[in-house]
Amino acid sequence: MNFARIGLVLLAFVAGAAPAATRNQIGEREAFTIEPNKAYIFFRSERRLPYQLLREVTPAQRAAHESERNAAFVRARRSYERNLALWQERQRGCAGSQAGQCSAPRPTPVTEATFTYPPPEMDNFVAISDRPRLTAEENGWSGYLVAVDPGTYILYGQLMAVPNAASFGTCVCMGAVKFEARGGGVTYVGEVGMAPEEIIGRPDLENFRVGPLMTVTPFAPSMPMPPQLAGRPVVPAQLHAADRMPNFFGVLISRLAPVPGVLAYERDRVIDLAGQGETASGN
Amino acid sequence: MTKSMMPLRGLAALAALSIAKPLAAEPAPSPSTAAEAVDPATIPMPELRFTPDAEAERNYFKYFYFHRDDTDFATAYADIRECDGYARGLSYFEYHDPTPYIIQYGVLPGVIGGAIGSALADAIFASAERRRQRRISLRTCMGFKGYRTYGLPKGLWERFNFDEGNQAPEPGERVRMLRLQARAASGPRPQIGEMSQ
Repeated sequence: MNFARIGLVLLAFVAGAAPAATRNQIGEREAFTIEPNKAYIFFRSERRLPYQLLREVTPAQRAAHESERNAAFVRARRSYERNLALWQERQRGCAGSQAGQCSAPRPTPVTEATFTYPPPEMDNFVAISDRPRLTAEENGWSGYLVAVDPGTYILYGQLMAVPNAASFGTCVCMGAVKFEARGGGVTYVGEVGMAPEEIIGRPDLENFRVGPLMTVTPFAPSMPMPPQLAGRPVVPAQLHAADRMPNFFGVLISRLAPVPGVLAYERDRVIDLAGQGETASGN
Repeated sequence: MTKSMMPLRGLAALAALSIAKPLAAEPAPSPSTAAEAVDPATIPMPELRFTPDAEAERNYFKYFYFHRDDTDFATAYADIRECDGYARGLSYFEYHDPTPYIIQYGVLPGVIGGAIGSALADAIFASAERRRQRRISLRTCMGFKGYRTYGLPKGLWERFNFDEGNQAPEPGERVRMLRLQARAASGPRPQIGEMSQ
């Protein structure tokens, strides 16, 4: 019994019940214009499943985030100090009593070690829902087109993060691919499928097998071109290996299967075969 | 997705479906904790000897540890901390990016949900599912790193391992047990309890 595939069925079921798709996801009959300040990412998927893309954080974004974080820390620290002073004042008036507010616990200190703040990556995720689809093929494959801000994007995982609710699925946090999506055109990534049966990981504790979750097949001229993209500027994605990433949503973890000429592994070390040199990861 | 849309975690268990688990807010380890050198000579080797029986073997999928040949303690400890981080939905590991932002982030649900998120998650999320996910994530992460998995009787396993369930161990206790796990992972190759990968 292939529990990985059962999981996918359940994920698809849940995805189908999820809130409306990302507003920048373009449907089959939807008219759209290629805007110069927007990038468009297209890929074909073997399954109707939700995905997450992650736009790489730029140095400028990271610097701005650090400033925001520091300001938030200062505010939190001041709030803690006010609360501590108030608590101490109340304690002085309690004279050993534990009644009412006298039993209130001491405020938790706010320090650099205890202060939590979301990472800049949390502003950079792009959710791709299982619907709408740009194309629905007779063989069951689906084509997805999404308008995004230009940048370098990582295929982060087969998962859904419902706002103010829960996260479902699996990230390919331990090895993925990335590509640049430039404004004013469509970047055709290729095909995203499930890893072959003989190597796919089995997240079934009693019949566990370590292995990749998905495959990515880079664009090839033989791949179907959706009629909606005819006459539009379409470029093949230049795929590169993406190094290990945090499990931002606390979901299960996996990685992509090796991609010839793009992505390989030495144990957990991600190897970029596409010319950028080895990624420094793993032991 | 913006900071205001970050997800809470936790809901009903579904077979073989990864469902993000809730965790109470807790501080991330300081960078100094993550990077400090530990003398393996100060870490006792856990007791790993036992006589296999059917009962123990039935529960290997719950009670296991890792080992890899020709691996020093420091490497094993770094690997185990990284995989513990993955299993918790944290981002401990030492990114190749020299800026240690990741280490400072802490637990995301604690950022978004606070008390409300934790209470909601605990009300609807089964601790058994959380433990299941942790086991899968650990075996996946350590498996990709080339470690073999070995089963133990529950009594031996509990001495240096933990599962999150509905209560994570205190930070100091977590560190103590992760070090013991690293000691076992970098020690002599186990002779019993090997599990399939």
